Amino acid sequence: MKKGCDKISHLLSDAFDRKLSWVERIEVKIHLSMCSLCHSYAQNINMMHDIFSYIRHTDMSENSQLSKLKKLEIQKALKDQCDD
Amino acid sequence: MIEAMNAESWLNEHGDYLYRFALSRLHDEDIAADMVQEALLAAWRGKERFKGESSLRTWLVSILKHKIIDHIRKEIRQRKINDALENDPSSQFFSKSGEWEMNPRTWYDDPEKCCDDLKFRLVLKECLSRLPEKQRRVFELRELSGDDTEDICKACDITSTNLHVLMYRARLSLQTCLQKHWFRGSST
Repeated sequence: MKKGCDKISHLLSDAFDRKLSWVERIEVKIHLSMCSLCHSYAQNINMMHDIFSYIRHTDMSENSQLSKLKKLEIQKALKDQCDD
Repeated sequence: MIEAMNAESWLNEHGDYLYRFALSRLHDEDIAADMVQEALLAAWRGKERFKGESSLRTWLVSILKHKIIDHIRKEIRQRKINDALENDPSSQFFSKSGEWEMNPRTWYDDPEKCCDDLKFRLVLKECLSRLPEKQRRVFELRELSGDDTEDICKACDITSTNLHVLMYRARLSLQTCLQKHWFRGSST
């Protein structure tokens, strides 16, 4: 039985979060070779994944810093804990 | 090792990094800063457990991660955020026989160029904000923060099957929203 696009799109998403079984991978491959819509969907969610990875890496290298006030507060809390 | 055992140097050398790590997961400056404080205090209390097998930063991040997971779990429980599994949006994307109702069209844009475009960022933010809250939290932890599925399941109190369903629905909705409002794509 040929699986519908709803099932295949689910598997395409799962592939980012778990390892697909051998059978599932074959199923996806065969379906994609015949279905241009799922093929487009696969490309688009790959691109979304790339977009989020890019944002993740640029956001982490941005210069958000702890405020001076918060640093003093943490320093004090650490000092109090050391004194106990 | 001696230098590493100085609480103030931990704060000075790793505080801002830990803060950015927390901020990328919590999106709230005050809560992120509080998490850093809690993590540093806990790390200092348990400093004997730091064996130097990993770098100090890696060890501090692992403690911070636990603090963040606990925080998210408490928040989800307290606010009873449980919107996610009840309404199944996939019916709006597919016909009863499982064929696409809203045809995806291939996007050919460059991901980096998109991200550098502030207008694209706004559209992306808007599309994310339209997701049901729990779905959005899970999706952001996974895709924006790059957390392990196991950690996310713990934080959000869900099974791995739930996680797959939530990620699937989020990707479907986002793909459709972005296609509608940004990528025009080309049909094949």
